[in-house]
Amino acid sequence: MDNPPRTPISPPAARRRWPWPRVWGIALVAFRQGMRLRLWILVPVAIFVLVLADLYSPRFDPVFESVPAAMSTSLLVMAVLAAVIGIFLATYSIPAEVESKVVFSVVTKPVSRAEIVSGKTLGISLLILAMLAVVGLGAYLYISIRAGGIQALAVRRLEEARPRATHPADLNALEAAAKHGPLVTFRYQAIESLPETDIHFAAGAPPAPGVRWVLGETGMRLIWDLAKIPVAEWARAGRCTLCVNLETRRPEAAPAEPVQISVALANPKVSRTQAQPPPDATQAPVSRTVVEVPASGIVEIGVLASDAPPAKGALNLPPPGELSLEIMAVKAGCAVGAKAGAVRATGPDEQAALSEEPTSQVALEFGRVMLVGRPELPRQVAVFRFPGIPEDVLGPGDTAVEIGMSVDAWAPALILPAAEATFRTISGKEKTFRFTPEGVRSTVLYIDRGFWHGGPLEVRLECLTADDFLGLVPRSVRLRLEGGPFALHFAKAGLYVWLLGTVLAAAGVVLSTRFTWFTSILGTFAFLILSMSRDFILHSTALGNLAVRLAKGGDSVVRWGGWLNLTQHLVMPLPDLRAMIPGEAVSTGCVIPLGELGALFGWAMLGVVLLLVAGTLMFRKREVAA
Amino acid sequence: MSHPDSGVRVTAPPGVPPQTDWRRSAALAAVIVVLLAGVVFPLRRYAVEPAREELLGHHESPGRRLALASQFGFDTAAGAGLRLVPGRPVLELSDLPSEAVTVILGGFRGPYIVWLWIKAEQEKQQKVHFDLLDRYAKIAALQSDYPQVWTYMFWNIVWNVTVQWQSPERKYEWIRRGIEFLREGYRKNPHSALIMESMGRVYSEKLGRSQEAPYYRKRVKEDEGRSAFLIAYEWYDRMRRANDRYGTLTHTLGKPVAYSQACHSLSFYSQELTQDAYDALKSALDARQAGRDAEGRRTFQEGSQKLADAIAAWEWARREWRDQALRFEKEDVSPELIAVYRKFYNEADGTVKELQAARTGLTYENLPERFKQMRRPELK
Repeated sequence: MDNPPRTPISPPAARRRWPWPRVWGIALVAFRQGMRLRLWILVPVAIFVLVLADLYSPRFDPVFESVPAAMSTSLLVMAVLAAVIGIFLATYSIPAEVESKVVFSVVTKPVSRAEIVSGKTLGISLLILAMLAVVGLGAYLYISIRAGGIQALAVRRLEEARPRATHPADLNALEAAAKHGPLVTFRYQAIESLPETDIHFAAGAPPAPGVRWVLGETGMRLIWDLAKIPVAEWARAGRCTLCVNLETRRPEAAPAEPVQISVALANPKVSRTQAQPPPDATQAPVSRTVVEVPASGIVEIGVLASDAPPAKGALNLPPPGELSLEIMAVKAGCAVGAKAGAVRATGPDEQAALSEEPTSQVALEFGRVMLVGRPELPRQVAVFRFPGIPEDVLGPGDTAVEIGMSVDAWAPALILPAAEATFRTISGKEKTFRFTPEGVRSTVLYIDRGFWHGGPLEVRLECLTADDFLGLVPRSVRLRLEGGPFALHFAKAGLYVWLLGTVLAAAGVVLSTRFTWFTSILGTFAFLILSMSRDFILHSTALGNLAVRLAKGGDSVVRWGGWLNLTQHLVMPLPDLRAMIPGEAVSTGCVIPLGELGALFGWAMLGVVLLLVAGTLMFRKREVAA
Repeated sequence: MSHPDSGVRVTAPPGVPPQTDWRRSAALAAVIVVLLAGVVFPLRRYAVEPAREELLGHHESPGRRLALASQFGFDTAAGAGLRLVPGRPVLELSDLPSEAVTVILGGFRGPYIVWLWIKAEQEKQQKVHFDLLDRYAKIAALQSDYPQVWTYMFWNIVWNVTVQWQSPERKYEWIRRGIEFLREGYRKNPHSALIMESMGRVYSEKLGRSQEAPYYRKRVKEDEGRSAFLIAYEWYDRMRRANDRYGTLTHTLGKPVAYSQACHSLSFYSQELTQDAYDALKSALDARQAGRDAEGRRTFQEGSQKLADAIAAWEWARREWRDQALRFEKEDVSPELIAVYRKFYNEADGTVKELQAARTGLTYENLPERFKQMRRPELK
């Protein structure tokens, strides 16, 4: 009797058709393997550790620090849990099956190596997700329970602080914590440019349309670009005069003496130290002088060649190149202003040229606009202009404006700095708040919907204390909008951690396809440490320089903003695992935008796929079948 | 006794003793605890107490002693092991979590501490402070044997973080947190002169003489009942003793300079008392000139007493300067440094004589004339 023809157990065509059921099956086996190893015991341990760690942690300000710190601790514990499972189980699974020869019964089944590797990774990833979900739920319940106590504490603190508050607005944050509790989330709308500066004159000051003003002792300067006027040629030819038509204002309390200004001719491309005269020069050229503005407001300044002997009321030309005229008011409270065409240059043959509108420049220090404090008017103002913001972007509830700044307080130590914020809508409505600026904590001011419900908004900031300076950066004033439920925010942060665990699991599985358990663990740890310190390595080794050079080379061929990122990944092909651990901003309640989460998910999945491809290739080369 | 489901009554078979109820178990446990305590407690006197008190100069509670004994064994706890060299921490039951975590972390303690240091420094630069104390507490708990760890973080809290706040109240709260933090470091390193020196410095320089000092000095008096300078003197004095005995002052300043801080603190304390006396006498004079004679006399009595206190303080400061100068003369310290001690001694001596002269014959009646010759000293 003839034997029936042997039918292939796994027709290649059928096997390749749809791998998902087989991958899912292997994933479930890996998931069950984790459960069989009683890894779930780590869940209560993790919850216990996070609760204990948080309860034993000292806090300076329990009302504002407890929830961020508890969330930070929870996410750290979750990240450690994800890393531990991702590393240990992923590296254990395949070597254990090879050791126990179970793998023979798997690889002889109609499954490909790619399906095995993908299934293992998926199963461990699911296990991490399940465990993180339970730990996250425990952490969320713990934080919610703590939040109740914190709200009660905020109410008590508010009662204590109310009589001592310098300004009612200083209590805004505490009032919000007492009213809504500490489980708040928010998102920001900010302006990405430095603020404009303006002068706040007393109410009775006459209007001066088209005049650009600067205030004395604030570092503000009026600048005219003289590049289009042949001042240098005229000065070398014999005679050149700059006639500046200025408007001045002095404080009401000041004596009626002429306003003094500092006038300078400068080359904006050359720094002041470079512009110093040579040490052997007999008479140093004069590039800056102080003159009084007469009642007519017209100041005449002679311009001399750079090598001409200095003369009274005249300035020597700076080093050749671009040329600008700079004017500052000398005394505090005195303002100087000018319109377009205020500078008239006259040449040796009485030929004349008018300047364009001046620009004003403010004092900048380390990229910050320094806003100078002054108790009385006129005063320097920083203006942040929000473009038209649709009402539906604002979300429900009142809108908060968060103001953060650095404070250089040079007033006597026991005088508290004071600041004023004025909100101005397009319809001309104004609302003013006074507050105590803190360099560490931003001030939160609330705008009700009756006052502003979308559209353009202008925020004007002033410092009210003498000798104090407020340092402002582009995002110093932000609209703080409601960010949605705290649970959703926490879940998003948990997803970040899950992605970290998944990438580590993929790395562990990949290494374990070729190496022993022990070697795979070491390898995955090395992968973790290198990936976490990727930025540090790039910034402190020659690899970073190499990436920069490659990026410059690429940019010279095709202009593209992403060159550096690409070359850094080329010279150091590791994922940035630090980005998968939510930062302090997330702990303080700043929600993760969905786009950002999606992008991170995409990058993580790309990394996982690349790792799985590598793992499949390595597994194919390994002789595991009998 | 019946089964809860079946309702069938189950009786114990003959000869089997009935089950003990929870009351008997609790009583038995209590007896065991009392017996154990009876056995262990005397060890405090005979085994643990003498060696530790001799070495550490601290009285320990029975609970702390039990924890110590359970951790190190009785012989080690009694001073037989290396753990009890002078300067080792005095452990308390509250140390159990940190000690347990230290043991559990094992080899991972190092990387964890490095990570904590990096995060703490990053957050300090970014002015993110919600985790700062927590991170510092964790680092210090895991590296509690290093006095420099405590003093470095203490310095950050007291000198760097404080100034980022504007209100003196907040600043003072941070300083107070820093002091609590370093007290913990002092408990863990009871013979570290470095910690004592840092503590003295914060009371003398930050709380005593900084820009906000008038506010701080008032708060210190409210909170601790004494002058900030007096507390600074106590810490500096403790530092001198600890360093003389254990040589634990790893300071860049020389010993004569570091030791002089105690004397300086006393001089500042004396100046503060002199200021108080001057202010009280001025109030008395103002009251007298305003026609409030009764109030003036009462305030005068207070001022007179404060002046006597100030004179006593100056005499104390003078004695300190003299004693230290004599000491360093014997130790062959450079003459320039001895001259500094002599200079401050002469200043204290001159002030004592000046104040004694001011006080002699001072009455309420001659206050207006005598007050004109007085001057209010400035803290320098």
